[in-house]
Amino acid sequence: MRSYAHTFKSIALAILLLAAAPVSIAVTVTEADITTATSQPNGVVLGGDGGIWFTEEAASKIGRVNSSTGAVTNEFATLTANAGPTGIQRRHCRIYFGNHRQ
Amino acid sequence: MRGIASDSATNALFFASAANRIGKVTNLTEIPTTLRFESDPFKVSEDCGEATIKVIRDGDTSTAVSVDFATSDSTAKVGDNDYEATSGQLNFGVGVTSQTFTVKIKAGGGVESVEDVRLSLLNATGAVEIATPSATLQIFDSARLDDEGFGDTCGKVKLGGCVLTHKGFDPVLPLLLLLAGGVFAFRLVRAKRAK
Repeated sequence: MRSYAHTFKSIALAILLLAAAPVSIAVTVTEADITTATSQPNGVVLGGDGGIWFTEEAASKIGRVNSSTGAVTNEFATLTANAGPTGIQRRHCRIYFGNHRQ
Repeated sequence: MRGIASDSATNALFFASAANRIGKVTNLTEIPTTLRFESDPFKVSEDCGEATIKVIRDGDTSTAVSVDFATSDSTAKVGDNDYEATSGQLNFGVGVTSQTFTVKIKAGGGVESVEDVRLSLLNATGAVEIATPSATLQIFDSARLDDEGFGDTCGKVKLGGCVLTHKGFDPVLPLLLLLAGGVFAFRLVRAKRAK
């Protein structure tokens, strides 16, 4: 996993997170590479299992991130090849995703 | 639009990045950014001609902000010729931590003892809050400076950016004249002896 951390001030994030409140914010951002190259990550959802689940539209996979470490731990290919999953939701302890192409 | 999800357990946000990464945002911390008057009250003698009012920007200075300022009557009155009303906008660029504006004081206003002008900050724009929306500018009758307990070292006092000389005895000038006279006399005597 390639991971790095740096602190920066971001007006865009201030607007996103604080609804344009008149304050500046500082945040720490870490990013983890997805194992599959050019996977085109798209939808993200809280899994309820200690993980964050996301779709890989170009790679037709569903991935999982450890929410504590931020590291990508798993990738699962969709049953349908070239499905192009985009949206993802959790309901009743299950993860659902929508395929864009198939 | 790519997805984003929040996780209350880790107090983090996760997002999908076009750079083929999954990002995590943590340690969200507010940086208070405020504007305030440097003093309250500001003090100025009616002899100064003007008072310099400084506004301080505390906290984050990574963005440009601005604030409007204005004066208004309190016990000092524009109509009584005590001062000139003023208003405008102060602009704080990136990294700028202070700005000033001036208030014209009218010497012929006949200030009685101490009279006040109300100073206001309003309509802040950008990521900033106004910590002190108002302050007071006190205009002193120069004859009352000593009564108000201001410092009097070497015959001068400094008020509101204006250095005043007291109307009482100032020993500096006589001492300089005495010294110059002494040097002149010494040189004169030495020149006569040389002849």
